[in-house]
Amino acid sequence: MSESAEIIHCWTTIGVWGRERPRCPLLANVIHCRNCEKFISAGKTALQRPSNEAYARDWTTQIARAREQKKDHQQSVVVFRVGDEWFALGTHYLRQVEAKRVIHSLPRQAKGLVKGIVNVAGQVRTCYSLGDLLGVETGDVDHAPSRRTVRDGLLVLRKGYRSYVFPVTEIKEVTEFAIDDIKPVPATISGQSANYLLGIVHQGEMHIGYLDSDLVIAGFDRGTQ
Amino acid sequence: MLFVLFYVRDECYAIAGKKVVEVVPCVKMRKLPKTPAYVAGLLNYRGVGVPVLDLCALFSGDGCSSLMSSRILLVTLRDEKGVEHTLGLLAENVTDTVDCDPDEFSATGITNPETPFLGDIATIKERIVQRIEIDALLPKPVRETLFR
Repeated sequence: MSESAEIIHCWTTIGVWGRERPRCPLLANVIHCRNCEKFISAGKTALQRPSNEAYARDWTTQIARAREQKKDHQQSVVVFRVGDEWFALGTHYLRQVEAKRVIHSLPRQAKGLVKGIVNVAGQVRTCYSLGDLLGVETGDVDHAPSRRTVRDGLLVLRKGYRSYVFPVTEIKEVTEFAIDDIKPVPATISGQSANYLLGIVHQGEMHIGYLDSDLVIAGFDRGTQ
Repeated sequence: MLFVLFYVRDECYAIAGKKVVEVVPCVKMRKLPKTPAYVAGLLNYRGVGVPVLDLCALFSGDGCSSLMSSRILLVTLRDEKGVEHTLGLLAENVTDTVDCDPDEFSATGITNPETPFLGDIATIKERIVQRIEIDALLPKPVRETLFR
């Protein structure tokens, strides 16, 4: 732990913030400097500086201040789309949002609730089909791609020691629903998905089906027994 | 399972992430007279007085260095009655977390009645990391002094 180790700013010359060519050969692997070990270790070196009085004083007052009370009539959810329908799941069991990847199908597994197996952070996980569970068809409604959403992601839920991975068409955001905005499911909605809904939230043009996480997980469990 | 890593001198330790409420910089604390040397002081955390232990002092005798990377981990401590208390732990080099299987940790085979809080070890990124069992960190008389 030397106090002022020399930091080599390679990212401002041959990295993504630099103008020099040729670019750093490591970029081919790490894509962006922020994923690079060199950049990360330089960041940590920056923390090996002596602390100063003003910094400590600032933080002392900041920590002493009472935290803003989290409203208990809010529910934290992740909003995503499967096929043409928007759904929300409570974030309680949500563990990760992962990028799309290859789902390896299982031999002799008829198409159904289990899509196959998938590699999530080096672990082999069963990949489920939420669309199949809810009876949602992958439709052909043209959704204008938005820059602020993630297309084709995987959601990873975890309950107890079990993980549940399923692909979704689009992930919009992690947000909060006011409990009062969660309206009962209209009686006119029938079909499989209605069984898994706790309520509906209307956001402008969007009607988001708020799913019961426990029921969805129980549904996945039934499908694999 | 997520672990927060920190150092005491050159040795790396891990605390279960779910025990950690918040990590804050090393701020000013009020001294607590007549407490063991490893009690760094009383921290005003969101308007509540929280005792802070200096882990370097607890493990090796000398206090933590005052670098930007020395930080206070606010953890939840559970006593034998199941009552939860918030405790601050001042440690060095609190800059990293690791997500690993708790099964990767295995017993050291060493039990020292002086250090019941030292748990199992694992090798993570070529470092030997030892788990800290927070609930066993404070001897009962000290805990009863700090939380009443």
